[in-house]
This record gives sequence, structure tokens and C-alpha cells, in this order.
Amino acid sequence: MNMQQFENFQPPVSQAKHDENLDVLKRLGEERLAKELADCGVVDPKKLAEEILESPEKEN
Amino acid sequence: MATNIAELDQEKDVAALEKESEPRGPETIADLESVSGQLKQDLEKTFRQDSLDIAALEKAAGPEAAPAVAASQELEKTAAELKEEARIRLDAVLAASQAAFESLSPEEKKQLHTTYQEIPAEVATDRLKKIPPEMQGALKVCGEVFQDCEYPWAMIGSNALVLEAETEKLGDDLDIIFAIQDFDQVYEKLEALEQAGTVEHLKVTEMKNLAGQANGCFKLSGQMKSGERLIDFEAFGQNIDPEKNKNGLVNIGLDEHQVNVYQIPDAKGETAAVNMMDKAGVEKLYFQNLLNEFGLYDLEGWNNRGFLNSKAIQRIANLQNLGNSPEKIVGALPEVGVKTEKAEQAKEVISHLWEGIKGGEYKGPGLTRTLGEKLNLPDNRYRPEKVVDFITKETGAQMKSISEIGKQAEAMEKAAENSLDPKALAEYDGFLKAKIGEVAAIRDRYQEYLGMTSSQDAEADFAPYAALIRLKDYFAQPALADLVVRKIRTEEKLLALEN
Repeated sequence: MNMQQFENFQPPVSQAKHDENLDVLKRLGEERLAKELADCGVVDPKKLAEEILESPEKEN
Repeated sequence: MATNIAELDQEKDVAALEKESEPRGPETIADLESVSGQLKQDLEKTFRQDSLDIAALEKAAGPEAAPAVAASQELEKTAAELKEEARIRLDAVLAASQAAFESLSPEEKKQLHTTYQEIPAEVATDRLKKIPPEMQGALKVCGEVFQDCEYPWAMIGSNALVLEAETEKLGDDLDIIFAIQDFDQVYEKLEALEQAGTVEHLKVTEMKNLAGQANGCFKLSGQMKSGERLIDFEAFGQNIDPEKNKNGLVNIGLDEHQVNVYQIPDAKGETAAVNMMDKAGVEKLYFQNLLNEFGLYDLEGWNNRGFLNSKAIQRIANLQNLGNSPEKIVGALPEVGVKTEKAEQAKEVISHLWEGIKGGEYKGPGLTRTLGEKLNLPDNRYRPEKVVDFITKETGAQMKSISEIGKQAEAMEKAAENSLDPKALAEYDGFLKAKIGEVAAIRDRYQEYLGMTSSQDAEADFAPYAALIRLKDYFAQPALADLVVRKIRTEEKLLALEN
């Protein structure tokens, strides 16, 4: 495969920005995050909110 | 608990103070993974970060680009200076190693860290059947370009792998490593081929590590014409210095290697001797690259090496194709010499991932089995590799899509930043809602794949699992979190305007 096509990716957020975002979301709480996700039509907002707020390293 | 972001901002100073008082320093893999700021200092060796494209600069400063250059004399000056500086650095690399090499005889130079094995014609003919005629023609040209090198050189990557591995995967490009000491003569030959029309878009790139420092390696790249095909090539001029770091041609830690010499024919039946890194060398390279790439697998890693998801996932498949079970791969990791702290940590991460899948937690029908059946792939040893190819393409497109969404959101936010226009803000809010749904669907797709994963089929599922779980946790979910925070802020603004 041609790897060139992958080389221009930028991450959606930097680590520092993600830490900041998580801080904000944790303070607002899981319920609020689930409500926001539900507002966007997410299928299982509660579960997703829980996973987003968990440490991503949990499974690693 | 705060109910909006404005309140949170007030709490931030207290939180910052609390954070200051927390113990510092990583203690677990989880901690280590989050210490991404270390990345740029840690990664000393890498060969994929293009930084200075001398040929492009040359063109920018040349007569064909005259109007642009005339419009910007500073650009011309900078380009020329940069080119000159790169040449000075190349000469410095050569001068630094001169003392170490000048005492060597031609034979000793040729055999620096390298032994050669001539492959008998009947064995070569049989193995070369896997490589299409046009690729063989391009390999023969490589043989001619590098045949006068004083120091070792070899083809690496898929073309070398396919000769000795149980794989159906064919190389679609040419990867070569050679000693930087042979740079000038290789460049001259490629330049002559460019003038003759066999090579197109010849470029020189000075390589840098992630800290932005020149590492003494220079890459020659372009496309080679063979039959109807234009085949990409990359030839890495490696900074070898036996006195300084005991490195061989592969200067990320591989000291000794064997090169297999094949006589490879072109369409006319004329042959040239082509050096192919042997199985053990290819395997060591894959191990080292796997660790370097996993070492970058965090949010900052995506920033520097977004394409690594597909690379890393394929490394595992490549190693398996060379006859290594995941158990064997993980067992071999402690012995792999790496030069960065991150890559060292990656050994633990990969072991942990393997423990995670084989531990019995995953009770799906089997990711490789399920996708293999859906895609009508024959149930044989090549199935996992083809599933990896499929997932790589899919996740690649999704990563691109998520990245685009991030860029769009950033641009819209900037435009709406100081806007008091409720309509513009409402439009941005609508965009965010739609995109949160889209990214959540992609993330759910990864979750669905993970749900198919089977601990019982851990060997077949390991490669896609290892990449998917990180893609979900390190790419899709952070993107979602970011979009949600943007949405909340935007709606707070809207509310404030209404009031």
C-alpha cells in the first residue's frame, strides 16, 4: 500500500489539549457528557460517556 | 460540581495548584503513555521525517521558477543557504567518519558488518517467481546503480521479505539502504538515469530526528520507470560510523547482517547482482520499527506520525509472516536493541496488549474469521494478512476523515470566535452536532470490531486488535471529547447572546 497517503494526518487534538478537554468534561460529569452525546444522536451515550472519561490506558 | 465551562475556568487555578502538588514522574505504563512531551527528546533515530527537500529548493531557485524567485529574493537566498548548509552537514558527516574508514582496505569496507551469500540460480529463479517482471526490472536497475558502492548496500522491505517469507504480499515500492559514504556516486548515477528518462522526480532529502536535528542521513527518492509502471523508490544513505557507535548499515542498532545476492533479470533477460537483506535482517528491522512506531503511539505520536497505525499493524503481520507467533514476538522483545526510552517502553505496551487479548476477556467469534468470511477470503494462512490490509485501508480513510473534521472545526471556531452573530454560532453548533455523530459512529465501528475479537483466536486477531484498540482510545475518543467541549462552549455563547 502507499503509505504516502497517511503521512499528512494531523491528530484531532494534541495531548495537552486532550488533557484540558478531559479535565473540563470530568468536572461537568458523566451525566452531562452523556446528555451532550445524546443531543447529537449517539446510540449509547451513557456507555460512550463512561468510556471517554475513563483513562484511555485502561485496556493497555 | 460546576455546571458550565465559565465556572470551570474559575476552578482551574485551584486545580492547577492541586496538580502541582501531585507526585511527578511516570510510574506505570499508563503514566508513561501520557508523558508524551518526552517524545521529541527521546526519539533519536528515525528515517521518515522529511525536512529539507534540496531538489525542490533547487527547483524553486532555478530558472524555471524565476518569476516566483524574483518575487521573493529572500526565498531564493534561504533556499540556497539551506542547500549549502545541508551540503556542509553532509561533508561534515563524511569527514567525521573518514578517520575510521581510511585505514580499511576495499575488501574490509565492502564487508563492514556484512556477509554476502550468493543465491544459486535454481533457488533464485524459484524465489523470484513471486516478484512480477516489471518489479524485477526495477530491482535490476537498482543493482546497476549500487553495484559500484564501496560500502554495503541492500534492498529492504517487502521485496526482500517476499523472497523468504510465507506471504502473498508483494512490494509496491523499492526501499534501499546504503552507506552515506557512497552518496555522491549513487546520486550521480540516479541523475544520469533521470536524464535518460528511467528515473523521474529525483529528490534529495536531509533526514532529521523528531527533535528536528539533522541525523547525518540523506535520502534519495523518486520514481523508477519499468515497463508500464512507475515505481516509487527511497534510498536511505545511512550514517555509519564503526568507531562511534558500532552501527552497521542499518544504523538503528543492527550490528551485523547477511545480504543475499540474487542475479535478477530485466525484460531482455540481462541480469544484475542485487543485494537483498536476508530474513534475519528484515526481521530485526521489523522488530525495531515496530518498537519505534509503538513508542510513538500516543496523542503526540499521532501528531508526528499519523500514518503509524497502518505501519505498526503491518509490522506485526510481517513478523508473523516470517514465522513468528505473537508469543514468540513478545518473548523476543526484551532482546531487541532500541535507542529510545519510548521504544523501550513500547516493549511493555506490546506485551501488555498481547496479555490483554490472550487473557480470555474477548469472547467474540473472531475478528479475522468474521471479516474473512464477510470478505470471502479463503481460510488459509494468508487470511490474517488480508484482513489487516482491509482494516488498514478502512481505518486510514477514517483517520483522514476525523482529521479533516478537526481542521474544519478549528477553522469554523476561529471564524466564530469573536462573532456576536447568533446565526453563525448556530451554524457552527449544527456542524459540531453532526460531526460528533459521525465520529461516534466511526468509534463505534472500532468497538464493533473489538467485539468480534476472540481470545481463542488471539494469534489471528492480535495484529488488528493491537492497532484498533489504540486507534479507538487515542484517536477517535479524543476527537469526540474535543468536539463535545467545543459544542458546550458554543452553546454557552449562544445562550449568553440570547440573554
